[in-house]
Amino acid sequence: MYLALREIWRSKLKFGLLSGAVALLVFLLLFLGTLSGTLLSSYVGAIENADADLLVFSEDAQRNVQASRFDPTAVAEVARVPGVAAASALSEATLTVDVDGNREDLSLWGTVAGAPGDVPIVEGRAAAGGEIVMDRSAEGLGFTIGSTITLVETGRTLEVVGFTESRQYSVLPTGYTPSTEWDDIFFATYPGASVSPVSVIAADVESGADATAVSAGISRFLAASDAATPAEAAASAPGVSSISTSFNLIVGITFGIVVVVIGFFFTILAVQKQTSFALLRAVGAGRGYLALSIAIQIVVTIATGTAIALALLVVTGSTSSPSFPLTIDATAVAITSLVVLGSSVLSGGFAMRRALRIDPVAAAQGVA
Amino acid sequence: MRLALAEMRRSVGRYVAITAAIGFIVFLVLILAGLADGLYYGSTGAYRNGGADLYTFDENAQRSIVRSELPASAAADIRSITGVEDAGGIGVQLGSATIDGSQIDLAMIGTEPGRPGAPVDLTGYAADAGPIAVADASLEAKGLAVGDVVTLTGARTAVTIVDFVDDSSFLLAGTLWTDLATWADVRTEIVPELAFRGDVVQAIAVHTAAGADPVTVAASIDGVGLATDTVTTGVAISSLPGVEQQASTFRAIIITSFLVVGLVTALFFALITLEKRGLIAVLKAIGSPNRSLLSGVILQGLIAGIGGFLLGFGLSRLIGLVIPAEVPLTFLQGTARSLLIATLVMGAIGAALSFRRISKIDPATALGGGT
Repeated sequence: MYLALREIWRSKLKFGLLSGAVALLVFLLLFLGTLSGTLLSSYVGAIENADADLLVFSEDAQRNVQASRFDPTAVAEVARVPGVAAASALSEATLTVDVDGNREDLSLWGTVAGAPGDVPIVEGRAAAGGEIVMDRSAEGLGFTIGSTITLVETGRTLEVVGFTESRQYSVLPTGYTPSTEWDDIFFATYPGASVSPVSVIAADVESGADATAVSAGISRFLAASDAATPAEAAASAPGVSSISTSFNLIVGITFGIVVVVIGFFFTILAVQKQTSFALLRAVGAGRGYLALSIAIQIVVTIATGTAIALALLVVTGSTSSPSFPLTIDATAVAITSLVVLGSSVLSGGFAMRRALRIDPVAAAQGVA
Repeated sequence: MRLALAEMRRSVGRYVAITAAIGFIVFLVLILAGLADGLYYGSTGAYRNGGADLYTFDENAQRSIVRSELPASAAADIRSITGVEDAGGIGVQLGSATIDGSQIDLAMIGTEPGRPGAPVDLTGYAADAGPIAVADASLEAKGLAVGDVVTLTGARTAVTIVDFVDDSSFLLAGTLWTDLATWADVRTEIVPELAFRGDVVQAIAVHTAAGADPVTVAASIDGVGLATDTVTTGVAISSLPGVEQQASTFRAIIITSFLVVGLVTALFFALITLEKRGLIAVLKAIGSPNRSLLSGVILQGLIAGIGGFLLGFGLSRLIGLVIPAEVPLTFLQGTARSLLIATLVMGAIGAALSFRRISKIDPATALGGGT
């Protein structure tokens, strides 16, 4: 162990460059994972984390909230389906608003207090008429508690009274207001409209009822409807599959590169040190000792590289755009780092095998 | 130079290893670049091929065409402004339709055929033939054929496909190009409350007169009191949701990857140089100048870079054959050329970083002067 660390200390440039390359690759790996998680959460967080057992879309909407549309009477029909405990309307519209002196887009959702689809409050209080609860991701854009949002098209205002979290939609600032307020905004925007449409129907199933069976029942009972759990609806939302498949592909390739680069560099180092290894073997160093030395150098190199990568990730996260704040998932980052470390030690197996094969007699014969 | 090439021939395994490492990173970069290009071209074709220099939006729409609304008469008003050659209204209705048994996302775009806003080579269109549309070529690959009748989900008006046009998709959806009247009918059938908005378009595509400065013309359009926000086509493209963010994110990842290429190459040549210290000292002792030694190392770096690029290029094209259809991967020759140059530059820089070490080697050590 002493020898392994001593060599690193004496070859700071060599191991520094390797740690630097590992740091950039691991940073890429962690950054891509974080970006993918943040993007998916900001894209369909409102769906994935909806507080309901089932979400009902119009059948032809392909689980796209903005394309889904029901007449308000459909909510009562869903509530009558056997196994449904409660059903409630969720409506969504994207509006242009002024807040804190800036013009922004807002995904505005109408929900019913205490009903399926209502959002939990993490700070402040629930919204009443003329008020709105914002997803916390919009805080950096000026949507703070106490601020007033002006809807550009109608001139109506909404006061921010609370925050919810992990419920962003379509990578936009996302807010939740009572459905009565949402309807008023809709009719003010479209004065000739006869009804305020419902985008999605949120439903809770009765205790002990099978959600899959209830989902099938809703689809049978309500014509041209498509019920799914929030997780299923989020996974099949338009674009989500493209995003997750693309990122999984890139992360997989990057991971492979990290492991290959580490393995091949330590193999080169082992080849270069064959003479020294033979000498060490001749003076009594065991095979295990040499293998352990290589393993220690791999662990130190990867740990250093990973530490630098984590620092880069934190800096990147803290300087990310307020409109798209990167959210670092500590658990995912820790798991990725450990998997990289374990895989790198395994990929260093070639180098260790070369060290283990060395015959001490070669040192005496000068042929190592 | 000859010595550098001979060394590579004699140590094939070692140089194959560095070539493979560079190759894998180039493979990653090419996939990333393919994704970046796929996302960009898949999102922006409708704007890029609209034959317009400027796009005029409702001033409150944040340059979002799907939320913008202007009176249809605004196009005629804009055509009378100095510096405007022609202008045409555009409307976009996002939706879906069942094609060949599968439901796919679509954007129906209404334009004034022959005016700016429609793809320049929209040749198959004849407005007097009833509700018809020219479809983006990407829809042909999904089973759409000339003569097919398409109805957007929620609409009653059906359009007959009369032709296809290349590279005209919008926000990763295939497009159906039709006239404004058909678009307006489909729009109000899907979203009935919009019927009360009257005769509207969502943006106006403007072609400026020869020699006119587009920025000046944009200011003139916004200055006539139509409550508009006029921008160049480039700005309109950057304002599409996600386009700018995707481009900057992929750019950052690709630059980071190239730094890794440089570092990996530098590391490799640093190791090789360390190993060859004695031999380099002998070469210097018999008169080889530093410049010649550096040239040899850079040549080796360039060869490893070329080999790595070819390997990465081959791997990326192979994976392109088996990649799932939902991944928007587009390989462009121009991008590949730029990446080849970047790989060679980073390979040469990485190799050249060992020069300091080479230049510090004392020829006297070859004669037993110690190291």
